[in-house]
Amino acid sequence: MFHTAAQTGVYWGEDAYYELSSAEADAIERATRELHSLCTAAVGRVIADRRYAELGLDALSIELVERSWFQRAPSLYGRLDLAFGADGVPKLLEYNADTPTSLLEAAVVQWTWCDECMPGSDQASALHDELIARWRELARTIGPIVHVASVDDLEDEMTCGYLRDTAQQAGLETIGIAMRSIGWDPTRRALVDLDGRPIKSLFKLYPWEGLVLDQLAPMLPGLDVVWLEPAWKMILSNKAILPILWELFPDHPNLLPASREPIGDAWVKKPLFGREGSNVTIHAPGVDVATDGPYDDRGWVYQAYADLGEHARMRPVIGSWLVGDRAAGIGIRESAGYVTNNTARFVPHVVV
Amino acid sequence: MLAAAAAVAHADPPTVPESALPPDAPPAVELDQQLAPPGMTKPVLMPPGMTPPVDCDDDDGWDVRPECRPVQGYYWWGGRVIRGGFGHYFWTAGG
Repeated sequence: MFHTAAQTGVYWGEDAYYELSSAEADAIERATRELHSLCTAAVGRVIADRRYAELGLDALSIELVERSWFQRAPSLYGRLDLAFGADGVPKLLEYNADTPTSLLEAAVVQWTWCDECMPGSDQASALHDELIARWRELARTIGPIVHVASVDDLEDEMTCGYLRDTAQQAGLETIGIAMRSIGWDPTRRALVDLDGRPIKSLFKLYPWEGLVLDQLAPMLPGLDVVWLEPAWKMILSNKAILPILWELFPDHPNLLPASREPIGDAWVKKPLFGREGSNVTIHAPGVDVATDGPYDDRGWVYQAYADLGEHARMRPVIGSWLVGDRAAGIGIRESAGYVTNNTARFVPHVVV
Repeated sequence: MLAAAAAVAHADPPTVPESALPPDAPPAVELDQQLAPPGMTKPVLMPPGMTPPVDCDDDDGWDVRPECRPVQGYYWWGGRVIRGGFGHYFWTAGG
């Protein structure tokens, strides 16, 4: 399976599981709803105050963000990454708002594990049903056919395959296509698939910050396409939203202090457009860690260091899912190190 | 001779006619797949195209012809449609 590596072991682990109390699961769900509300309010403030320079957005990105926001372009899903340490108060680490993965594991694999290995137990996961319900809601906006595009990557293709399944269960027709195979018909001035059908609704597991740099990006504003996720998610998937959130909602219990400058003597430095734990530096008492990666030239933010808690020498991060605006369940990934990267393993959970 | 021609075509795919591109489209670039990150890669001007032995612009089977398949970093003219213009930043996909 993807992410399994010789150095880090099997990505899906069944030799352990996390046990959450119902109060803990409720706290995570409440925090997820609250944080999503804060985040969408912050998007509105960024757009109203045109704070795009802080996010490093170019003119094309700004045009796409504003258009999608004012058109109230709908969202399918997103994932908040939360620290859930000893104080029992979830803290936002970041919002994977544009292209979240680990979906299949959270929605289906751990549910199957619970059903087969822990019969009678409960789990904080309504993802599968919520996704189907969301596609039904979206059908009014996106129409009966949705194209689903990904890049050439096993995990991404599997995520898209799963999302297609949920869309089909909602009654939609889905058409898969590789991002590179998406065509632009200069005669119709429209995106088309490999059979020449116009693409009217496109779920793309491909980040907006890449899309706006692609060679055909200049056509994007002129296209009549419903994008999932919408372009306004560019603001939330950008780490620069973290200091803006802290500025707008100072001392909120579910937020960590964040700034463009180092914070005290315990901070985490993250690249604005980083993913999968790349180019992260942690400086805290007894902890000095830096990861390498390609995201080192477009700015940084600093976030106060959060204790992830330690369980059997592993440090978990809660991936708390949103489907539309609804909290929809969690998945837990854990690492022996201080940075949760793409080799962190997925461990199931039960709620007792 | 035929094999040699096909090899040349595969290495140098058909380019998109200038007239088909939007007026503000940037020049095609060759991307360094190892460097990956948006903003870090340095655009390299596309080398002059060679006349392809297979006319992908007028071939019903263009989408299954290796000669007409996309090459990373290049537009790909398939049928009446420009392809290969999206998806080059695959290293930044899901997370």
